Amino acid sequence: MNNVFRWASLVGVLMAFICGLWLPQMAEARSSQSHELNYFQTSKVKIAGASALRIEIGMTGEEPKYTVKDSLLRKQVVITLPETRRGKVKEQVKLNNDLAKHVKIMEVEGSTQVIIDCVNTPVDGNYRVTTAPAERRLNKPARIIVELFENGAAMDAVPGIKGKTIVIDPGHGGSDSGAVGPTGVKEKDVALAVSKKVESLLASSGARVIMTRSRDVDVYAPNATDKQELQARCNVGNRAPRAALFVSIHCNAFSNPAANGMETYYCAGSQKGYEAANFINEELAKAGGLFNRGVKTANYYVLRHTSMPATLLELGFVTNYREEKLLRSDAYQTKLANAIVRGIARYFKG
Amino acid sequence: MKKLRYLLLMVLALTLLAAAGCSDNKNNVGGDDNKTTITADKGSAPKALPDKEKEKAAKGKLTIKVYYPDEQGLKLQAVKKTVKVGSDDKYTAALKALLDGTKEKGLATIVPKQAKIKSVKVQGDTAFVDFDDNLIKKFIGGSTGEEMLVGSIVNTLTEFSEIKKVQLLVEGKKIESISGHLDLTKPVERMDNLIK
Repeated sequence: MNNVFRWASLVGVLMAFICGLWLPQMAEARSSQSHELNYFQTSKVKIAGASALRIEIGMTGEEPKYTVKDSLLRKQVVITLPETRRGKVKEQVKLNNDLAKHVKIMEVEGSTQVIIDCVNTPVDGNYRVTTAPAERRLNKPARIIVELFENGAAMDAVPGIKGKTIVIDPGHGGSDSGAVGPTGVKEKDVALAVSKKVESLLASSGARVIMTRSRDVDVYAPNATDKQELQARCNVGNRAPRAALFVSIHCNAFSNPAANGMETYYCAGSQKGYEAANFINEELAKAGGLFNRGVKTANYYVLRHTSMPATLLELGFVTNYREEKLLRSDAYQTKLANAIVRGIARYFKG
Repeated sequence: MKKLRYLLLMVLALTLLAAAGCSDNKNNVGGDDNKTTITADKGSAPKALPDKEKEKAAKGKLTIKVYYPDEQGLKLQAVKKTVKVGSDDKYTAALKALLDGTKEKGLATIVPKQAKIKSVKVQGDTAFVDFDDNLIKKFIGGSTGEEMLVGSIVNTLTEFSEIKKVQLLVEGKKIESISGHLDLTKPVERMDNLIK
């Protein structure tokens, strides 16, 4: 599935490249061609597991040529369509969703400018612009397509982890729910959901991923002792040849609902463990936006009894109302998974 | 049967108390924590303490440091409490003070309210603390929760210079973890890194 998306994105990038470099000349050859906008549609889509907002602006004629600029300060993506008139498409379109606030379309000296006010700062990688030819069957004209991704959504394979063997340990599971939040969000479910996303991202980047569990089960056996259960998880890693990193994914809990934030752990004395914990901590802090409780050491069983560098991640507190809500959201889980994979890639790059 | 035993224990404890000339009969476990004087729960006074005789001689008030986590669960903070040492040895009294919790601003109580101490025994430099199974059953979980729970017990007990390590037991048996993060298979040393 992921491969398909990767291909799709590659093709998209290629198309943008071709459009940017070749089409202008081609268009010049038939410079008489001009456009008039006649179509505007937005939709929520999933691309490589991340949600994205797709804005399609259609027009008469062939696929358009265009130029793109992004403004970090104004959080805008500005697309200029030469020789294009606005036509009947509205000048202002309010979007007010979590990715874009509104779109302004105006004519400037024979060209048309499309200005998208984004929620997140538009940077390379969290938006892309492509064009598409007319599709008669779908009743769609030639379009320019802007896609805004959830912050931190990775679009391409992450370099640096190809061929590495990585053990992912979704905390708790089966008879052990782990911590449970006030509205019933279970640590074991969040840990598994994020772990599976990490698994697929790592796998699509060429890593060999070993999961201590892929379903809602105990790794050793239901109602086993803590030591049996935790040692079973370590064994999955210890017995895997060439396992280079062990990442245990958890959610935190505390008696006071005020407690909040993300933190990462390593085993005291392990430099490699520290590096992994530190890189992933930085990425989680950037993408997740929670209070950063830091990179810490603790006497955790899976950190002490694994034979390869290991880190334990606490994504947030299920006992904190705000974080419980975030942790159960698919979009937030995707964000965190992407961050974890970026952290792992940085670890292997050294 | 359980009730009967409890009653018997109560009677026994009361007789002991009367003999000792103590009139304070407040049962305070899990109760109000703003009071600095803690009177231990007589019902669960450990029966087989090696140095009980010594404790009796040194009976009186004792000011101790009890550790509570801040409400963010980042660090442990020492709170001074005065406990009465009498029917309880000083270790049990200190732990009961901890279990009573705190209402001090900015601090949290992490030990489950329902958890009870069954006994505290000291062998060499290690304290063996036996809780009932509410310690695990009623525990909120989380690695921060677990760290703060174990840290507050261990650090409160290692305030006594003769105690260097603490082994946690539940219903008389050694435990391996409380909520599946910490490795408690070996006695735990003082966790100074958690103290503010």
